[in-house]
Amino acid sequence: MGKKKRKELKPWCWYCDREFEDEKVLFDHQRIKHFKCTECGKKLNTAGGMVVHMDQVHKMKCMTVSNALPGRESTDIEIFGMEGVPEADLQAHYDKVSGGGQRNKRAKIDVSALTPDQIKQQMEAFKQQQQMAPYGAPAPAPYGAPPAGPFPGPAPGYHVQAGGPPYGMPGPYGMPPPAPYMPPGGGYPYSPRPGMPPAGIPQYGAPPFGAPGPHWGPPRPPMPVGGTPLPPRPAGPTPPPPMHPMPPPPTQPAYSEPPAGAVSYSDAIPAVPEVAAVTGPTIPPPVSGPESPVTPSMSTSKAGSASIYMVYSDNDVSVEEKRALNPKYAFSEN
Amino acid sequence: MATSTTANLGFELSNPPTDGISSLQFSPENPSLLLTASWDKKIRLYDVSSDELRQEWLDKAPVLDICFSDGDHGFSVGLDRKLKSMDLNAPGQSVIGSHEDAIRCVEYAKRTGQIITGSWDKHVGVWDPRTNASLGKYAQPAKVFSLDVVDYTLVVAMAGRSVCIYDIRNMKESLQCRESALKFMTRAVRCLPNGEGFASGSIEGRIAVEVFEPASQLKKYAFKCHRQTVDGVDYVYAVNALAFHPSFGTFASGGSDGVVNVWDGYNKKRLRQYPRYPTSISSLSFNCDGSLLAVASSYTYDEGEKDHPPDSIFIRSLGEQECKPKSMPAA
Repeated sequence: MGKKKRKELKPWCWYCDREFEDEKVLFDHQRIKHFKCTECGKKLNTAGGMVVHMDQVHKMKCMTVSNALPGRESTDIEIFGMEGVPEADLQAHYDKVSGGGQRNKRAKIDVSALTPDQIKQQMEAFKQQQQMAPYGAPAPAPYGAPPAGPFPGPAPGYHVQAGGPPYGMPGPYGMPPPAPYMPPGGGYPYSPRPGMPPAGIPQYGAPPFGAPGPHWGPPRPPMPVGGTPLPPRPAGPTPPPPMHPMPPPPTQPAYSEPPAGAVSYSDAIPAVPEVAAVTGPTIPPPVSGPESPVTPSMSTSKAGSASIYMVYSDNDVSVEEKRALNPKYAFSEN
Repeated sequence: MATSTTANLGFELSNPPTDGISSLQFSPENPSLLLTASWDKKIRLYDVSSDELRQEWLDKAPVLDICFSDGDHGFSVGLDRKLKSMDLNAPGQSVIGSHEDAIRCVEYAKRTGQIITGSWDKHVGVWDPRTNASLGKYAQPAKVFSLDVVDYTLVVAMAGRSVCIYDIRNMKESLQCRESALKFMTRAVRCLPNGEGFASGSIEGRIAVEVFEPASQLKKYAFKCHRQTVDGVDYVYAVNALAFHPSFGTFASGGSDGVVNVWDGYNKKRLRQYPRYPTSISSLSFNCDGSLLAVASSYTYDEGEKDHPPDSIFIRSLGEQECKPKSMPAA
């Protein structure tokens, strides 16, 4: 976990724990999601700037950063991009992404909490998933069966998230108790949680610098595709197959929920924030729309995925002409 | 100011028109005089600083547009096909002239002292308000929906996405006739105060800013606005109203979504988005000193006859910096 490795980390947003391909995109993200004035929509560069703006322009006290994870709404910490992120959180984030070393702690908790039956169930589920997903994406492995050597990358990424507490930052993530990870069905250990960092990209990005998991633990359960190393699908544009039973991109909930207290009219803001949110998890990192947010306020681009409903669509006759036909508006001479 | 103030929407006038508000316009001289046209067949003159309904004129048909010439005279057009003038300090109207079909819009050309009308009979009329004489009618390719004048330049927006530009000193031939930069019906057109171009809004939630100069068409641009995504469906509303700020050159747009936005066309930025009004924004007007913005929140019939919130007029007082662009372009 030395400094060298940390340099390879992608820029990420301290407020919502989301990773970005490029620091520029992170700046734009923060301006749009976190440093936007709730009154007039003006985008500031820092939380402090927003506080001053709200105070001077609107005479309002701004106490919280919108769309931030619980515990990270403070406006006191001056963060710009990656600058100003508290060292502890930086470390924690690194651990989480790389998933190295710290695994033991997690394993301790989770494994010991499982009854043999549960383990069995999860093994079953795991096998099924593996069959469905020949690439053997990593996710559930840690639960039913601690993964083995050849399978290092993303797996840690996933379970580290799930097992947040061991990394000493339970607060900010608002971790639910371990229980949710072992639903009675024994099926899928991961349930999307609010506060969970975006799964899609970051985890896939993990392998390159994710320290290969320590070669410990029992042998892996049978996997159809033996030890297919993960890297073949480095930038996997889809969420890992095992996640399918859930709403595919767990990112979405994490992103759409926080705005609860957010600006009421944010929906009408031209495109960009949504673009980022929508395309983020599904588009491979290299093209996750980094350029688009450059001029957010009058952007003409938008993900054309939504179906369009034109409220008034008669291109030949104006509303006034139609309205004029109504008998009550009829005009008679005299 | 008295009476009710709805949070963040501005101050609401207490005797609003009782049916669709087709147009509202501030006086060019008195910053608190507001003239309105309505489908309830009435023209009303308000003093917004005292929330007082100063004067009313009852017409025989719905009134579609009004304009001022100076602080004391107003003009109205509507479904009765007539252009009428009013002395704002007295009751009664006098007829100046008429078109073959309803007159949709009327503007005053300050430079020439003429009144210009646009009608569904596909003609633009030019009138002399001092002598009540018709100075000519000029055939257009299609029904006229909106027009505006800046200096000597007249822009006429029509059905079929036609836009014609005239020099009002020579109406016999148009300077240019072009297709709108927008792919759908034009709802409103307003000229840039600097006389270099115009902005138009369409039924498909989009605004275009174009320049008159044919050689610099690369400068034109369009952007989406007045849209809303609900459950993955992108609802696209018409842009019904545009109004330029008298001193800053920024402009406000009002849509059928009930939202008013303020744009900085030079820097291509949105400056403000105001909280949603009860229903469609049918008309907008800045007053002459740029300190107030009148907003007509009045259902515009986009979805036919239906229950809708009452018609209302809100007056927003604007902070000094509220509509100011961040950086002005090099003059």
